[in-house]
Amino acid sequence: MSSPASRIQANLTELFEANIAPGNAYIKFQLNSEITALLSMAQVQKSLIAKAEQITPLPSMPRSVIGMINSGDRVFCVFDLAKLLGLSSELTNSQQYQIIVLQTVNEPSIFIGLAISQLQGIIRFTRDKVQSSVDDVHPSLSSCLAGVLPEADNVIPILELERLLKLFATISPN
Amino acid sequence: MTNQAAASVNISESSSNLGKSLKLKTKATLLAIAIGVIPVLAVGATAYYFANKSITKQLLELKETQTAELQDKVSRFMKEKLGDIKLMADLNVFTNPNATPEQKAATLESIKSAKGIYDSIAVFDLKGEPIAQTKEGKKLGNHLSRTYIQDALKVNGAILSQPTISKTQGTFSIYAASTIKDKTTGKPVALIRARLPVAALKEAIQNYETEGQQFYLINEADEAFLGAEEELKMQNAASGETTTNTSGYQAVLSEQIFPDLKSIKSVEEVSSIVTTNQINQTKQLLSYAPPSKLEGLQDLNWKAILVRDAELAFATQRQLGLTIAVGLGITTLLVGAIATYLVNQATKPLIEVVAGVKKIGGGDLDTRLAVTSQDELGELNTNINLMTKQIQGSLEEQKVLAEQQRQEKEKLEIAIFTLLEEVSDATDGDLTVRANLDSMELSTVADLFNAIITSLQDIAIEAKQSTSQVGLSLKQNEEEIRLLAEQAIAETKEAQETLRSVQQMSQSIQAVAENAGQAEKITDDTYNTIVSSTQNMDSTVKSILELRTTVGETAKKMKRLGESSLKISQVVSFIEEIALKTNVLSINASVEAGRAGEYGQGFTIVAEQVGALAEQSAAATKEIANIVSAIQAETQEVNRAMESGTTQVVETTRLVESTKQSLGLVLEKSQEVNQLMESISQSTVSQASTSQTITNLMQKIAELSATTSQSSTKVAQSIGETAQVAQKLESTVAQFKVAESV
Repeated sequence: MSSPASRIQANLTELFEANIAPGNAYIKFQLNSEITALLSMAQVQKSLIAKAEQITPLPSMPRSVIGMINSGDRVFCVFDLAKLLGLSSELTNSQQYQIIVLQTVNEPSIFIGLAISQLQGIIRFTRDKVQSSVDDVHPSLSSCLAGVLPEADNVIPILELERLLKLFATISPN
Repeated sequence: MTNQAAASVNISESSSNLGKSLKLKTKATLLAIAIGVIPVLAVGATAYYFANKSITKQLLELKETQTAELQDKVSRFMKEKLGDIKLMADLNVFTNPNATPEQKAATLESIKSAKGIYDSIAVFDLKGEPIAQTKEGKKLGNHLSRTYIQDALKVNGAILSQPTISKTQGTFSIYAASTIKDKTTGKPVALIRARLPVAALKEAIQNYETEGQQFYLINEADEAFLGAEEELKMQNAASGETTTNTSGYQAVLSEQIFPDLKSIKSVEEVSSIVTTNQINQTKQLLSYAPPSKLEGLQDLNWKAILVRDAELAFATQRQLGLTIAVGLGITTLLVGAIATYLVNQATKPLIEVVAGVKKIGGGDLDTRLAVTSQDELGELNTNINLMTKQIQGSLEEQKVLAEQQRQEKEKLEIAIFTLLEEVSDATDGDLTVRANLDSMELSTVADLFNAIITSLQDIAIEAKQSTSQVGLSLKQNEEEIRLLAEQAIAETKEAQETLRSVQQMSQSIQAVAENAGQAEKITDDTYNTIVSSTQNMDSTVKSILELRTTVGETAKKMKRLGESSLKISQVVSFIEEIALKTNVLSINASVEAGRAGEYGQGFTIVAEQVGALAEQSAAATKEIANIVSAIQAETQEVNRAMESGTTQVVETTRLVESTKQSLGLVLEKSQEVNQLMESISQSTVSQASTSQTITNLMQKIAELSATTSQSSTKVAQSIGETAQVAQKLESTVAQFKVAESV
């Protein structure tokens, strides 16, 4: 049951059953090798894999700012989310980046690219499963936390874009 | 001359036998007695022999006649008794059946008193019950069982019994019995018997028993039932009974008394024998008469014996013998006396001659024999006197010659004495003396003596000089020889010590030889061990080389595995990328579907599912990547291990090779050592034998030196003794006195 092949087989059967799980969709990703996090799919525009040369680095910017990228007729800034949250990052000097592209709801709406360690897919769950307890979460995440989703042995933090945006305010050129 | 004569006499005496050694006088006497006595003796013996024979014959005839008479008398006596019973049986009173028992008893009583010798007469019926009996004695019982009654019934007439013991009275008796017959029919109607004591029979023949004479009667069972009372009594006494009560009568067999009786009994006629009575152990003349047959008397088979003591019977012969013996003795004595007298007369002159010659032989030559007669004796005496005279003359001549010789001898003695006197000093060593040459007889001797003394003097002087020289040189030599002896002793000691060390050496060499032998053995073992070790080493090298090949192959395989895993990892990263892109696409698709609103809902589902799949694929590839990287890491580790293993194998191979080479060297060396040990062993063995030989040699040397030491000691002693002898010789020689001028 636990081997990957058997799990794929199980998912293939689900694929052709036209059922959709109840609740809102969330994108699941890994911040770094240790921390997995969730973001609501409501603000997600797309995800992309970009090579390093596609991103133009910005001079005199903190390490959390990777650079500017042109994608889908739009230019937007790509941030290293782990660094932004004050965690250790694995993205420094990497050849390619996995990027989640978000669009702010408030006017003027802007595009933001968040580079993460690994995209893991979309999951759905209802709001009643979300808990507000922040005890088991890394302290650096507490400022931008919408809640946590309890899993089998730990909790997955759910990040909130609005609170993340506040962090951008702290960014200033070196 | 006399001595020679005596010697010849002695020779003749010693060579003569007994007859010759007797004196002439004795011989003549004995001969005379023999001539006188022998005829008398012969006549006397012959007379005695014939007289004795004749008398004995007469005596025997007399005795035999008496015995026959005795036998006859007894037979007649018994016949009379048979007649008596017949008479009694014919009496009317017994045949008459009407006669009362009282009448019968009265008749019996009257018969008994008339005869006087029966002690009981009785009449019985045919069943044996008594009808009448004489008064004396016991009342009789049934007599049918008695032998004599039965016999009388058997013959139907009169019989006599053998002497037997009366059952009623207990006396020793003879029974006369008869049947009483009917006068007309002749059949027995009753029985009568009369008892006759044996004593009555004895009385009838009493006169045959005289002094020294005794009769015996013997019944048909050869038992003596009548005879010498004391002899039969003696037999009875042996059974503890008395003769008066004869119930204890015991049969005495006649042969118990006279065992020789058997020899004449078989002759069946009157005969005699001289035998020994076994009871009183006296020699007796016994005459025997066999049973006689008498008309009208049954066969009693009684035998009669008459014995007379031999001493009495042969008294006449003895007296005759004695008379003849006395006559012969007197005759012998008379003849002897006459013979002795005659012989004395005849030999007297001869004895006198012998005495005279004996005297002359003893040296008394003045003796002369008297010539009294002209016969041969007279001639002998004359010649003897002549001979004596001649001997006397020659003895006197000899005496004169002896006197002359004595005088000459004395003269010579004096001369010798003088000479000795003169030269006596020479015996004390004085060689200066000289003998006088005056003496006529000894002048030659003296001259010779003087010459001897002179030369002796020369010798003595030379001896003196020589002895002094000898003494001197001995004294010098003695010291040297003593030293020599000491040295010899020391040498012996040294030789013995050397011998001991050589023996020790020999023993140690022996031990070395044994050790060398053991060492050789051990080395041999070692060599063998090394050879096997080398073989083991070879196989080890082979194994290691095989291991090396295996390790090399393994390393190649591992390298290929690494390459394969690298390829896998490349494929995995490719898949990972695809999965990532798929994921991105699904997210984007989901976003696009969400923009499509209500219509895009189905697509959203697909997109999300694809995303999930992609995620799953990513996870799977991630696991694969992990596995591969683990494989790679492990492969690398294995590689490293392999490398170090290979290095070690190489190293080991090298080491083993070098070990093998070393072992080869060791093998060579051990071979050499082995050879060396062998040669050492052989050398030590030869050394051992050599040292044994040396030991033997040393032993001989030690013995020789011991002998030398002893010899030198002996030489030293001898030298010492020689020195003493030389000293003694010197002192002896010094005694010689020599003239100063020489």
